[in-house]
Amino acid sequence: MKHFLAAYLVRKNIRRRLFRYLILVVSVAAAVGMQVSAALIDRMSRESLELGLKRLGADLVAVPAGLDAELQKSYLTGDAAIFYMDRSIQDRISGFDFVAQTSPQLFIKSLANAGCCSLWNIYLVGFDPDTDFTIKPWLAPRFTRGAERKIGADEVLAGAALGLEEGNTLRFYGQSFKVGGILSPTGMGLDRAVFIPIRSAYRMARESKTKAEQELDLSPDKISAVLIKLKAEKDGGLPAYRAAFELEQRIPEISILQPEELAMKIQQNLSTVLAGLRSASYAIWSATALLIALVFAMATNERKREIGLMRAMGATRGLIFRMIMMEALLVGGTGSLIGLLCSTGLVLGFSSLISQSLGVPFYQPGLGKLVPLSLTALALALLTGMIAGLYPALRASRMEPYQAIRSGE
Amino acid sequence: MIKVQKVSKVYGAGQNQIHAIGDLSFEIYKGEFVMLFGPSGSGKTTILNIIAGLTRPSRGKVFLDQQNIFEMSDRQLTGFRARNIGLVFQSQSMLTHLNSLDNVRLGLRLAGKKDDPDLAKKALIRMGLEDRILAYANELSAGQQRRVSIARALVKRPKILLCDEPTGDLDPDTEKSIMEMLKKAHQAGTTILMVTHNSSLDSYATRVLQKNLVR
Repeated sequence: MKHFLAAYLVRKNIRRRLFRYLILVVSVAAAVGMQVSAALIDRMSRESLELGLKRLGADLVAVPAGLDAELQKSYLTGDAAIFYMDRSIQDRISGFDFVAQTSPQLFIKSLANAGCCSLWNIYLVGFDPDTDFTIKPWLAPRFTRGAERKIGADEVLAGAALGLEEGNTLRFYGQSFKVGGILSPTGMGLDRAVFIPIRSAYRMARESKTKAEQELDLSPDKISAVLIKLKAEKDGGLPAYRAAFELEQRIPEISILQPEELAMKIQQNLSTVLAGLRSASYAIWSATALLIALVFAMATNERKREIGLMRAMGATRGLIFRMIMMEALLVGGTGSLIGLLCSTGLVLGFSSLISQSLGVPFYQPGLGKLVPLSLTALALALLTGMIAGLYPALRASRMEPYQAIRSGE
Repeated sequence: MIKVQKVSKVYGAGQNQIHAIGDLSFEIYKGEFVMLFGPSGSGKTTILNIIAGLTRPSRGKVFLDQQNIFEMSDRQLTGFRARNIGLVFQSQSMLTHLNSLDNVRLGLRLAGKKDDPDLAKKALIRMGLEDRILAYANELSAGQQRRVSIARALVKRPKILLCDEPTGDLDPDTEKSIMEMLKKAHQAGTTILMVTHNSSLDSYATRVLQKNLVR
């Protein structure tokens, strides 16, 4: 009953002093929003990076000399990196003792036109199904249905971010391809690529002279990159950094991209940005807690007479305490909910933009990840509201009614 | 019903001490309408607030229904006040974030009685505020606000009504209408103690006390 009375008084009070409460709610929302954004970007980009590197599946990637930075950008953002080198380089790399396995990749920027939907400028990645150790393991489970099946010459695999479905038809350079499978998402740029068997890519280039509006100039003795799996050190392999050094020394036409190094670089980039974001959010958080405490202290002072009158009418100290605390918690709770919804909506809605501007991959989190994060932010905001409201609430409830009425006159 | 026994009240300390009341004693019996007269600054409001338990005396005792109210815990005293005492203050005492009706309803709820909007409405109508039921303090005149406060104090049917200059600063017509309302409450069985400096109102009282004569 008394709880309902406190809630009733809080509701009436907020309605009469709406502007003040809105300012407080907006401050809390801003603080929570910044915290949640920082946490989301941090967590999801780390997760994405981990997944993406696992997806890459290679210890090293060889590209034409000096172009490793372009490939790195391409992996992160999905922008096509078009360059070629001689196919014989794959054989030369395979010849090293410390190399366990190699597989070529071919990068093509398509003049796309999809039979099913509107897709333009798709990034095409040719891969060799016979030697591939990086693409097939990431087919989304619902399309593999347990048994591994060979990818047909007219089939392609699509990245998760393209919004395609198995069975859709895509046309590239005058040839039709059926989507044979969808790769599970990683948040990396390659989620926006279509993977085509390398022999089909060469055939498509050959036949483009007669079938396509624009010819694809691609020689079958060219590849773009070689994915390298190293032997374990106990089996005579080398650590990745030494293998990379060795390869670059012995084959001057190539540069080596080390995914582990890429991960470190991205995390460094990210930590600089996040440190700024976190510092700002901590500053806002402290300022907000102080603001709530100050506003409630001022409001309590201003409401001394009202509180005294209520005490004179029979309001207990507990009721006054609950009333002030409820107001503070309501401000904290509403502000944090708004901040939470806005920041989650903005971060998820503009994930591509964030990914591109920060140069980091971004994996859309599921509910399982969002709920604990949201609950933590909510709890933190409520705690802030509670701490900020505690002193004014105690002070208000301990005032002698007569003194409160007189000092408020 | 009300027994004030050697009550003193001192504000401040040292050289700044102000003796608002010194060794005051008197009794008020059930069903009386007592007016306590005295000049401004003579401690009339202080004694009323001590009787209501809103402030503690520096010395002395106050008995209401044979209970020493300052031996009660804060919670007990608050409950006792809520159930038994109606208060009408000298200055504006409406809660500004509540309209007239909600002010009166709050009086009922804080007294632990059932929230009854109809009863609250009737109390306001009895005070001649039928067209100001949903008005907030800033939409009411001083006299109307005072009448809302009386309605709020009376709606819970208190045993004792304590009024502090309920007609202060009001025009003669409003003063008369408020006094008539208090008279009706008294006739309905409420014991009233009213402090005022306006001696022309003594015809409403069953007994008059002069603050400077009370010891």
